[in-house]
Amino acid sequence: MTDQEIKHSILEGNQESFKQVVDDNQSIVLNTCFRFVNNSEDSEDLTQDVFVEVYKSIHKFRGDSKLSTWIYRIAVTKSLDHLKSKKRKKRFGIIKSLFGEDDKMKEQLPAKETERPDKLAENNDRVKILNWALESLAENQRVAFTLSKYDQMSYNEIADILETSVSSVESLIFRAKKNLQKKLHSYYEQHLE
Amino acid sequence: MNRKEKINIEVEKTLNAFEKVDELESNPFLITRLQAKLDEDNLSANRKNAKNLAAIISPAVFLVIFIINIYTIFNVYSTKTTQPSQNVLDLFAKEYSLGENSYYNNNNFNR
Repeated sequence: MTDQEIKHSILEGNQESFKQVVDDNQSIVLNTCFRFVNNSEDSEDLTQDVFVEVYKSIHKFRGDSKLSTWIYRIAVTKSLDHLKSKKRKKRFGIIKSLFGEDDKMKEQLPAKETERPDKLAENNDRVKILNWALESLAENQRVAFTLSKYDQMSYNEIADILETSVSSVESLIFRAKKNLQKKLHSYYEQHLE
Repeated sequence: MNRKEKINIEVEKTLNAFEKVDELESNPFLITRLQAKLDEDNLSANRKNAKNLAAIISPAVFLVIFIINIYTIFNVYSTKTTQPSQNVLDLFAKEYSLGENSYYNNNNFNR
């Protein structure tokens, strides 16, 4: 079935067509969300939200990109919205802590190397540090870099998701890396023994 | 290896951290959860529509009843203040044999 046929089939209430769309795209949506939010539970919730949005908004799919690209665009948008919402709650938590209402400051960066009790979660720590550094990037650089690190996504697909050209994607990734290198250098200057 | 080289290595490792992240497994029950969520959303939407409809209809019904009541009250009071017509009075008098030809007005009474 073509993407337009799938769209019309879902609009007519065909559950099998919708199920097929979910089965075909679930893995990439889940792992795309995971690379942004770095939390498996949040990623599962976001995946559910993405497909609910797909079902409710399928009439808006115009067919100027692939259906899968349109779905991944929704996944990226939902992930970024989730991160913004989390940041707002964190800011509110900081204000509360100033008034002594909340003493817990979660999501601390990993301690200095010599202070960590073990090195078992080394890559997990690096992912946390990378996500911290990514927060300082412009949104389009962050998205381009994050998606480029996922094997299943080509530069062409990233360009379709961002609704830009492949050369723009390459430029965004290049700038993202430069900015991340600066940020990470200053982090390791302070934290590396 | 000097400190600068160490830092560069750490930076490169961190930049490539996403590539070492294990892929999450898909949830086989996602479609069931989606169905439940969509059914729940449909139910909420129907309830909301019913509430909205009630919110529109209730004031309209109230207004209609109010207008009918006002009209009725107006009509009732208008009827009470109107004098009955002469024809109606004459008919009433005839019905109950009232007026100049009544028994008590006869000369016989004054015997």
